[in-house]
Amino acid sequence: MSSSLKSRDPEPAKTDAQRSALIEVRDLSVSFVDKHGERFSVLRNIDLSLQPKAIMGVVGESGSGKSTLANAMMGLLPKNAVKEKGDIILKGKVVDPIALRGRALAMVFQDPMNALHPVMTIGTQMVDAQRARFPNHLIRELRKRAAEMLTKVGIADPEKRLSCYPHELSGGMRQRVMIAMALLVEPDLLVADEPTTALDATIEAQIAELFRASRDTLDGATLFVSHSLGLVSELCDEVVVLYAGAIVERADVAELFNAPRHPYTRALIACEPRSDDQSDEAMVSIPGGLPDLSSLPAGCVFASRCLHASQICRQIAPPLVTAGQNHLAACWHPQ
Amino acid sequence: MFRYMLWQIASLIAVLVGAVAVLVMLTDLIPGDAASVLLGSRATPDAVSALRHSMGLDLPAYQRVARFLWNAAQGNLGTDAISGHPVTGTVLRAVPNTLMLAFGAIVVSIGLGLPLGVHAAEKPGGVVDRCTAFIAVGLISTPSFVIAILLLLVFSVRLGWTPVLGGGEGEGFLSRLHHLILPVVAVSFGWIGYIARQVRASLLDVLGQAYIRTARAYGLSNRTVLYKYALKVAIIPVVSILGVGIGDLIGKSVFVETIFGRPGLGALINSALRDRNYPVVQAGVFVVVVLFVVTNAVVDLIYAWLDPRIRERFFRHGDQ
Repeated sequence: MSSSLKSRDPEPAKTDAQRSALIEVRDLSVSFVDKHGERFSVLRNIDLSLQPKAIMGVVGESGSGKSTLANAMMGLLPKNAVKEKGDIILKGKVVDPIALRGRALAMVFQDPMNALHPVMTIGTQMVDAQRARFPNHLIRELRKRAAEMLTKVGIADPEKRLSCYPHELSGGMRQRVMIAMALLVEPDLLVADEPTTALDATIEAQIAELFRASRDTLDGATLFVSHSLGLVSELCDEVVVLYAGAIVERADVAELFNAPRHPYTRALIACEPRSDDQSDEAMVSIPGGLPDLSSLPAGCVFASRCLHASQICRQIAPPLVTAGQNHLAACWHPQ
Repeated sequence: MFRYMLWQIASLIAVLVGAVAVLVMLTDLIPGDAASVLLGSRATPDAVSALRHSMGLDLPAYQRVARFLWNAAQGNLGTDAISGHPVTGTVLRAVPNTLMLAFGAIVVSIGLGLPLGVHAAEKPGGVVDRCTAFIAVGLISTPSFVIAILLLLVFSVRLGWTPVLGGGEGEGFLSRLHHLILPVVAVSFGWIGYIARQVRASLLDVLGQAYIRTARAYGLSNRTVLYKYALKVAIIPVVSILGVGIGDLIGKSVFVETIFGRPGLGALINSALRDRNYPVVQAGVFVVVVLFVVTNAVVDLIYAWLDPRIRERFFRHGDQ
């Protein structure tokens, strides 16, 4: 069996999903340290595994750590961040994401207005972005690839666009350029950190469509960070719900939206404004706020805002356990 | 673009007219009539009024401005009030010396200030950064004439490595360079520190921008990120500082040229002022203003060349 060949694997016991995983995050914890030396725990014990061609959605409110997770997977954590523990595992090997940027990893950022260099042409930037991945290609070849990719992401007249500067393009167009750039690298993991948040609604739909279509081009997995549940439900295969730096629920997309087990997930879904909602009902919101990340409660991080919280919730943190078919939830009282 | 150029030339001329007007008025404002000061207290009234007439001082101010500009346009900057020679030749002989000094100082300031600033920004709070900050404050706050005198004492008088006086006129290129070393160092000292600090601040700001994160996310080397991506934007404010700095450079060269006895514009204006040789002062300052305005126009063009966003604004300006 091939398992004997893989005897150097970090962990012998694996589920089916993990065995075919392209990229995994194992037990990742990240803290921020402020200038007084105080530690804020922004990510705790994160486990993820992504299959080839799969799109995994990461949702949660602001401050839940979803962008930090995206940046940690790219090795792009800010200077005041400390990786406490954990590994990124690519094709069964523990890797340093910094060494893989632009090769196995590529990223699309939130704000396309600032993510492109203002005084360099689109073409130069798209060529440079491929340099790490294709070091032996001629600039001419890389430029040709860039033009072809621009066509694929729906930009007409690509040759002309390559000599444009970012300020000559619209926001949606710039985000298309960013996506083209990411696809050019042919990454094993494409990280998209709220790629539609800065765009208006019609453009948002187009960009989401582009991510869906990118599966034809991209063999790698996509980590799609978003605060829009609607977008995630349409686009992703699997969803991870983050709250205060921890995974509270993880499931296939249909399962999560049809049968959410964690009270926080249920509340999030209830808060999502529906575009077909004609009623005058007031917007629902979850009362309370995130716990203090510098001194987390002993029990469940959501207990202070949870309607179902009991004695045990305030004392012991619930583990992330199976709550259905390929469904995990961290709750003492799953719904 | 063409209209932009026209607009630039028009504003250039306006600045020159304004500068000449101020110069002419200064001659009026300085206590004592220029002609009687030149001739001394025992001159006869006839002699004074004759000189006033030949210097054109009896004309109303606006006519003097017009006459100066008209003559200047034809290459005549006036007549030396003491020697009676045309001033143009005197000034034009001084210009290359000053240009060499200014150009040398710019090259040295950028050549040293830029890498220092980049190194300081690379590791903020590191050894290079702290040293640069310390030295820069020292360099900026020490007047250039103090540095000039110290350099002169140490390197020329004590060690004898460099010539004491003059610009090496009439000698070979190497001798001219040799004469240039100390004055250039004296003028550029403060600028090295200033540019290093500016580059550092500007670069730190740019390194925090999202497009730098993009470059890093695509695995570009630290070197490429720093020198190709970051510096391209960080250099833009530094260029505009240089534009303004030309004036400071010329101001400093007045002192430095005087101390080193370099026959440049600064030294010429300085000695003409002491002699109350107003036509020479006027011509000298006029040429300085021309140099200043022209370098600023060049800096504007460099600015537009560096930043396509500004370039586009120029084009739009031209389309109107």
